[in-house]
Amino acid sequence: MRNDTAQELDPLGGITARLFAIGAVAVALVVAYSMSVITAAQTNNVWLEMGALAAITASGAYYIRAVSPFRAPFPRSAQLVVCLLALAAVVLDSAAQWGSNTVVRDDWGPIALAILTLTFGSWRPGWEILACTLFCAAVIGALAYAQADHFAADVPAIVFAVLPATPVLATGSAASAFSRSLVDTLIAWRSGAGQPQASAPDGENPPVPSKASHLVHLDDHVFPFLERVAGASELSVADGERARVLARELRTLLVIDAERSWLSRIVREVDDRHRFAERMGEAQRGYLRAVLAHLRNSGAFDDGRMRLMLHGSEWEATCTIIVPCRPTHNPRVQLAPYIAVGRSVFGTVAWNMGHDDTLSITLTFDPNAENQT
Amino acid sequence: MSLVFPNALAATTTSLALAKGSFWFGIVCLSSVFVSLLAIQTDRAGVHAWPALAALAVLAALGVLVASDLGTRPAVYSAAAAVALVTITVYAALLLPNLRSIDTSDAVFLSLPKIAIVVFGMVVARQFTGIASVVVAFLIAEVPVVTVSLLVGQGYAFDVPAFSCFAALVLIITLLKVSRRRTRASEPELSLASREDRAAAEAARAEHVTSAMVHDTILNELAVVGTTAPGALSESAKTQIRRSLAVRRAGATRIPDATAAVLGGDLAAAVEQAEALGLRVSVAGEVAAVESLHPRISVALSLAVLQCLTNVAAHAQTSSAELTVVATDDEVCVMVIDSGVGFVESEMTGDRLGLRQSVRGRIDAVGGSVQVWTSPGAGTAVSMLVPRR
Repeated sequence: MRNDTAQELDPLGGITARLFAIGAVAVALVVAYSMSVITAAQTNNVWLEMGALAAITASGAYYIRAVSPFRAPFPRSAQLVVCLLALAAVVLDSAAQWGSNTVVRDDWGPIALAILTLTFGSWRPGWEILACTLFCAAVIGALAYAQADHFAADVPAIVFAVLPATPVLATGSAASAFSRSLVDTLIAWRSGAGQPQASAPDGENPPVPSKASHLVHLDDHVFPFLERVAGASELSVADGERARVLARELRTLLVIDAERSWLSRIVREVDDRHRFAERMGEAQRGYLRAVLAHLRNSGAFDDGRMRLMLHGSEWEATCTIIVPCRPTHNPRVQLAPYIAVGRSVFGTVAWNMGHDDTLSITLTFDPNAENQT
Repeated sequence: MSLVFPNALAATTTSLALAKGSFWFGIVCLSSVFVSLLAIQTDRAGVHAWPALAALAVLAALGVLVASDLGTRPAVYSAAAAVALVTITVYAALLLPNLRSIDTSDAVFLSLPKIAIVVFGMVVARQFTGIASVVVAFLIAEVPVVTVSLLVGQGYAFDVPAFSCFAALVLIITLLKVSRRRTRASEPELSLASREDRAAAEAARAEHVTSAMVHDTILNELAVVGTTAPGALSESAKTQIRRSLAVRRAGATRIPDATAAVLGGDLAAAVEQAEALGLRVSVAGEVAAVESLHPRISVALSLAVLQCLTNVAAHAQTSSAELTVVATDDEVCVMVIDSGVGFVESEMTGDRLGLRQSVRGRIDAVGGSVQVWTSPGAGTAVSMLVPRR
């Protein structure tokens, strides 16, 4: 059984899916509250009905909280909580109508649960969704079967078990197939099969990295000097002195360039005395470049005062980005995709907006991880 | 590999996944009605549900057809739509007059097949960007059932579940386009950063190669000029300067070969040059394995060995060194060992560029690794491990 999820493989897709999760919760709650009013005549215990509404509300609220890009990825435990709360709503709704429920198709519990289940495809593996669906369908079917004697329709009891379970079975199967299809495509893409060209803003190409200072020194001073010496008939005292100065300068620049990490070439103020930046994986470096480019270009931050600090131990390193936020800007919405993607690349990603309007983003990683992608 | 899934693929991938999900949604709806009707047929004498069950089987078969590769052909999905229209009409005509529990056109036994047809429209929609096929599917499902219901006197009722499914699909298709544009806006920036990192890594590798070259050639030439007394410079010194300048002109990709032309670039040449510095080098192991390496790796390894031997001659205060080659199927390991004064690696000053650039930089650039074992008074062993390919 494959445990990959679409959200882990494509964190940006998870952000798109979050909008649908919020929509699904809204629709499920509208269905629950409106149908509980419409079918009030079949309710014989108001407290249980209120408990059912509270459970479905809690399920929806927890779901919206758990699919936040700032909490990505959506864990198995969250799916269980959402499902169990919604299932509790189903049970309480049935209990509230026990003995007076005449029509099975107007029970809102299974429908609300089905609506929530429909959006699980982006968050969890297909088999998990299917397992959860079958369990919920069994409970819903069993509840309806137990009430069969009270329903008005003249059909065999088994029909009462099948029909209320149908919405959950249908949406759960759909979500499971959706998840499997997305994951298969994303894994095929990650493995490089038929990999398309990644997008670039307006066809922009990566900027050419700036030339190391010792190379500039070589081209501007050392080579012209050596070429002149190689072509001269005699060496002067000044030539000897010039050669010694150039050698000293060149050696110094070689040392400075060797000391500079890739990170210090893109951010002015970096404290990385233990050279943790050199121990990041390719994906982590790419992500950090993207975040820094975003902080620099978004206009919401004072990038001239941006600082980076890397420290940690042999087992865990922390990279902290600190940048003042310009007044009147709320970076949360713009940061969401970057936090979500960061969570798929780094061990943990945390962000905090301080009282002095300073944003800090903290990324942790294993400096010894092999094959970091 | 980009950090995130490209936007160019996201739309088609999601459409395909939605189509697969819709297919199973429809199949479950039809199966549910099928099982229920079968239970009624079995339980109630006088009920003749077999033709209706056959109609449900036909609808399921149409779903399988449009979900298959054949389903992308206009002739196939058009024919499937026509057959679905006839089938749902027949199904409604068979069912409506015969089942007492069905009162109007929104009865659950009619709603579920209608929903199945609507979601099969979503399966067809995987190859389009619009909502046309879902609208057509909804009309195919709803119009015949309402018509038959009115004709047989069962009446009309707005089918909330079927319409809700239709509306949900239309909303999903529409919102996907809008929300994707907004939520995936950062994808180009993330993808560009990945490419930028690859370009920077490539540039850093080239820089390492160049730095090693500068250390091994240009700094030597400057030292020669700086220590030669004023007057005529020897022809051999001028020739060496011209060859070193030629290395630089060769360009980063050809620097290893060009450097090899100046410095030797094979183990034998490295040993020869070290012996010219007064070092006695004993060689052991599978030296031939170095020659079997890719030329780029072989040159880098030999130049790194030369630097190690030069370091021994300059700093170790010993006149001998051992060179040992150990080869496996995948890797070649070369060790340079001396019994000199040794040093504390962590206390090495930053300007000791030989080990950093000419050894580590070179070996790292070809995908290898370097280990140094040393302590004051206990000699030094430098191990350089490189891949065979």
